[in-house]
Amino acid sequence: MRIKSKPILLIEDDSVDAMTVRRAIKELHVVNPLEHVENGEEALAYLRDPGRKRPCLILLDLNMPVMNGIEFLQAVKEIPGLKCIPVVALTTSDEQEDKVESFELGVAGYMRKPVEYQQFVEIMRTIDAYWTISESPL
Amino acid sequence: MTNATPDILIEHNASWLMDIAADAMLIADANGHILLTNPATERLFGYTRDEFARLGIEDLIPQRFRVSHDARRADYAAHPESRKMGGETELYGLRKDGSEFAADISLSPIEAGRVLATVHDITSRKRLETEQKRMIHELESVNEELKNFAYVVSHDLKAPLRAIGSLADWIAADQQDRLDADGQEHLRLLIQRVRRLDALIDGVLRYSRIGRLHETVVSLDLNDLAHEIVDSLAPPAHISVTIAPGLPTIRAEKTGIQQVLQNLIANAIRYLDKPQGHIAIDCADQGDSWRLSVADNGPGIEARHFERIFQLFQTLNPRDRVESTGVGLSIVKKIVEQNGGQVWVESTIGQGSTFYFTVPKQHPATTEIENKP
Repeated sequence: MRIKSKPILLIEDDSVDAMTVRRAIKELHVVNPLEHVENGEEALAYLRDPGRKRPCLILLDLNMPVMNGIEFLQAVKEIPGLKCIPVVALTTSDEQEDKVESFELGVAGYMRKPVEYQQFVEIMRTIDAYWTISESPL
Repeated sequence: MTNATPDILIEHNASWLMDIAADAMLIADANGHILLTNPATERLFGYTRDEFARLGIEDLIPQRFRVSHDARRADYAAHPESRKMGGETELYGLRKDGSEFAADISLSPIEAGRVLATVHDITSRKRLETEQKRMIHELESVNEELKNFAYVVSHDLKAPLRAIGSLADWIAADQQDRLDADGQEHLRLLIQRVRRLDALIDGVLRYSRIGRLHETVVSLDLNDLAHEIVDSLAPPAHISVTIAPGLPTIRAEKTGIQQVLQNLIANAIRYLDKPQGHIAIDCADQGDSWRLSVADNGPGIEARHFERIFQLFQTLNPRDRVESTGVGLSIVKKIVEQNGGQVWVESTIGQGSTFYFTVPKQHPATTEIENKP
């Protein structure tokens, strides 16, 4: 990550998937703190809380209870200060509809969670490398 | 016959025609009074001839249509012509016993505002139409269910599977020192099975997606496509792939043809067992269709397996020896057949196999569109 002080916000309901992300960023020596919430509603509450640090990147699962990823993207798009935070969809869904809708709602990337952990590490390595090179609006 | 009998039928001696007609026919005057009915009318509505003489046309239609019928009758009197009654609206007749039946009614003007109406009971046709509608609706909901099923499979089955895979990976990595050789081997097999199940689920999804979305039919240069596919598959150095010169340009759905060729060529590469492998891609003009072929000098397939290999999840090697889902050829078959073609294999054990598939020159989807008026 280019900005090291800001957290990465992980929106994910599956605890093992959350462990996977945590383990991968540790393995890749990403120093940004990881904030983990379990659905879109909790994520909105986090982002609206002035006491919390703005994340430099959001990793978003799509299929979640209470408020799913697509609904979260729709909500975030309407909030001026939040819509410029890059969101990478990190999901199981291979549905074309989900992909199209995610990009229409402005995601910065769409990654399918692989079944193999090492492949997942490679995906996280690429995300980290990209957001180290790329300028960010934050 | 009453004195109300229209002169025209007597003059032309045509009432015998009405008497033998299978359809109900009746004549009414400009005010809607019934002047003449035939036996079929009496059978259909349940009134006797004498009872009909005291009735008006409005008595033969259900209450809810009567109000508007007056105006319609006046309208017809202003523009008399032989035509179907009702246009797009569904018509119903009312029997003496109060029951209703769906009807087709034709009107023909006679003279002095009199009208001949022919009433055809279409109850059984209606019942078939309703049945058909119900079946289409059922089919749609089954389709929708299938679509949701694919989604459930992709997410809800894969999420826990991925968790099992990750946890096994971590145990293998973190607990390596504590596991003996057996434990490590079991964990390796566990992870391998997770991958296999993952590939199978992907296969089910790929298979179920075929035909759900129809692409547009485009002009497809098979020469370009074949080269593209071979490049993307990057065959190893000991396998040469020849693409016959002058492959035609056909009209087809691109992704489908691409997937068919890709699966066939990938299979040929994967199973090649000779030090010098040869794969040949060719096409023959069969008049109303193209016959494409992918030939290899691989191990060959016994004739008794020719059917089996195209079935879902069927493989000829134990999965531990050749990691294969058994989905590829079933996808080939489904795509080819959905596009109106056929697929088959010819093979000699030890010498190789040739897979053939046909693509109609007239794409089934386009034929349908072109046939519409």
